[in-house]
Amino acid sequence: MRILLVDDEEELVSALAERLQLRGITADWATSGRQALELAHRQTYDVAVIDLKMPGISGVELKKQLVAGFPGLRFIFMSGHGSLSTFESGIGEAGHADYFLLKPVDINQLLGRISELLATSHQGH
Amino acid sequence: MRFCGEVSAAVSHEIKNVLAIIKETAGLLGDHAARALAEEQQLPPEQVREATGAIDRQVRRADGIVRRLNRFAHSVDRESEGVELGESCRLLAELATRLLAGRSATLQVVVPEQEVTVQASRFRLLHFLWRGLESVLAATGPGARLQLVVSARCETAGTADAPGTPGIHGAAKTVPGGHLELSWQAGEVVGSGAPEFPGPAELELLAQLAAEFELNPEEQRFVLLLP
Repeated sequence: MRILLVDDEEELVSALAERLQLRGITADWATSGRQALELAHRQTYDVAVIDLKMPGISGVELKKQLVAGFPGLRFIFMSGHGSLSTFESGIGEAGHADYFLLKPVDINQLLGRISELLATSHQGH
Repeated sequence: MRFCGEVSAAVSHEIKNVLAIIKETAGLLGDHAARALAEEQQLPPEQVREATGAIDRQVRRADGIVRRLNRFAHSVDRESEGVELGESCRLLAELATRLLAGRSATLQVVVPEQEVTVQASRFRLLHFLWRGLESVLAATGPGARLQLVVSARCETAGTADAPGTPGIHGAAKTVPGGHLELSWQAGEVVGSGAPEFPGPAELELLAQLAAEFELNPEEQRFVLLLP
């Protein structure tokens, strides 16, 4: 299982990656959409956890590009929105993801979502 | 109302990011502590120092965010007051951090050594400049470079120019006050063209500020003259 974490807040994404590593999950991180695409071309990932609002390539745009290049990849969006309803209504169809998580993210919730996604991916294949 | 909502949303996003970093840093320290305890080892002091350093940085960052939100909140206190233009433009730039980052744009604020103070509504001034910033960002596309220059208004008969810059030519009169110029250079991807600004709401703000305004899309700048 390999996870790609993308957020422009380096201290956040690096700490989150280290916490996942401590739980036996291989996690790479990027602080921009461009970096994330470079990583995705070098390495196969099962799930991408992406911040919605990033400078340069936005979370929604990054997801579009990753879907085009890597069809099997699953997605979780993170956001600093106040509630899930404002988050989901604000991004529309283009921002459809498997799951949405609000910051600050609960590590156990994130682990649960990742496990669910991987379980459904394996059922589908 | 929309302006207040936009500023509040931008600030709350920033605070959420700070909280998220504090949470993950504390969580990571907790993970290391749990592992050390399980292995009957000492927690390396370097890990503790790294974590406390990160938390301290984020607390100071949050303090800065809340201070600027407080300054913004108090901008509605008085209908008219002595408004320092340099300080207000710096506040605008800080409030617009996320707005600018979302468009990969930069805003440089240039202020004179001596602060320029005008009698105005701070809130309306910030509101007008915020709208201008949004319109310019929408028109220039991602990666734009913006500059906001503050200067004292010249008291030259027949013109109302800042020193060394062409401005709005009007009737001969003494015009003490402030001169703000927002100029921009589009990024790699050019946007829709000229900013659609000012609209009816912004014209009302201009009237309330008793300010003069000139947009020059060819020269990619606009000038605001405050009494």
